[in-house]
Amino acid sequence: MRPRLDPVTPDGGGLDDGYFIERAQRGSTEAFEVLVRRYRDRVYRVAYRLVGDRYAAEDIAQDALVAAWRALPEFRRDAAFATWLHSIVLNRARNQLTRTRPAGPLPAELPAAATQEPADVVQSSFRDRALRAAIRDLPFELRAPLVLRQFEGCSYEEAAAILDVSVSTVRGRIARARRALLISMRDWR
Amino acid sequence: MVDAPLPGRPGRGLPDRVPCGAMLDDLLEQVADSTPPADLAHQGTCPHCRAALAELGDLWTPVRRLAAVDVTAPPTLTSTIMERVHAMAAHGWHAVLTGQPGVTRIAAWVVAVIARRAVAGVPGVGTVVGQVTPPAAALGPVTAEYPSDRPSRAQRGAAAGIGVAGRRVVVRVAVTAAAGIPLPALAEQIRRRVSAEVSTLTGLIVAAVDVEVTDLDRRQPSS
Repeated sequence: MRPRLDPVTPDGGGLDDGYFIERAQRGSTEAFEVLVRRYRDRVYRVAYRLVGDRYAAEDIAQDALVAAWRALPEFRRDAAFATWLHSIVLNRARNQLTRTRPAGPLPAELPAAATQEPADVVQSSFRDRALRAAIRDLPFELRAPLVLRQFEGCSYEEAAAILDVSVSTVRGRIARARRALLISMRDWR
Repeated sequence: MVDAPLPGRPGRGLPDRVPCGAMLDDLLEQVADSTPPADLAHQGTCPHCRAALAELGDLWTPVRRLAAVDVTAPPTLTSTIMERVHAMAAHGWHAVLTGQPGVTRIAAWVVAVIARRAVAGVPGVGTVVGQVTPPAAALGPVTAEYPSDRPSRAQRGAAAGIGVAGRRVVVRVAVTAAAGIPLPALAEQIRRRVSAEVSTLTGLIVAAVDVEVTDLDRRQPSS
């Protein structure tokens, strides 16, 4: 006997994604809301890492998840839902970056370590900003795989599936992105 | 701090290899991914590799710190998204993107009516079952809605469920068939007719037509 959806806990309890995907594909907004709750942080985080701006990231996350609802009937469950969702986020972020190229100063993000001396705090702050600027300045084709691998913990295979390129291509792009960051970090020594 | 393994400072470039011949990209991947070395015996004794790894580890620390920062979605994100989803589900609109300018929207129940009329014209179809009102959840993320003031009761009897997403539409029809008609052939004919009519009249892409034969109509002679 299949478990009842109602009343559904906000995070869907212990039921797996497949159960809610199937229900959402049939039109259940409740089931879709469970998926939103499960994936909102991940979607937002990827968007934020890609565009470097919280407001733009919120717009992208919102549009991506609404687009996912629209496209859900076409989702084939032989693919991983997270992979499919990530690809939507990346497309939205790419479109957003094509329309607007952020160039302003980046806000502080990392808290200073308590043991740091004031001079070190200043240098650390500049270095962190430089790092985020370096990420932001990467071409999207390098930034996307870097974010997936380095910040989201995707495997090379997962990143390749999301980006719809070969694993060797992903490895090459991530290596180039890492080199670019390395040069940036070296300059702040 | 070990500086030697990254020659080229203060220039912009990085070497492809460290002096022992090991690839810099491999060492950087090892550091960035926190994976074990491919050649443990060599790295354990090679001063060039050890120095390079120490240097790379130090340079990579800010990236690790940045990756460890907890980034969470704004608390209102879910409610904002669900408001839009509920609005889409309630309206049942099917958006057709046109050229320039503007958007054409076709209500899902309009597609249902077109589908019903298409099915009614197929030889061997007895009735398009009027009493079947599939639960919304069975139809798709955006289902045909029949507001009380429109359309007519006859239209409500279309028994055609419409799931829409972007320009694609999935149609579900429930029919009774004349006894003696080969049902697979009948279903195929219904699919072709519905696909052609809906595509021609709406410009939508018919992704699938699901046919449910609910009964045999023994009063209607087969043709």
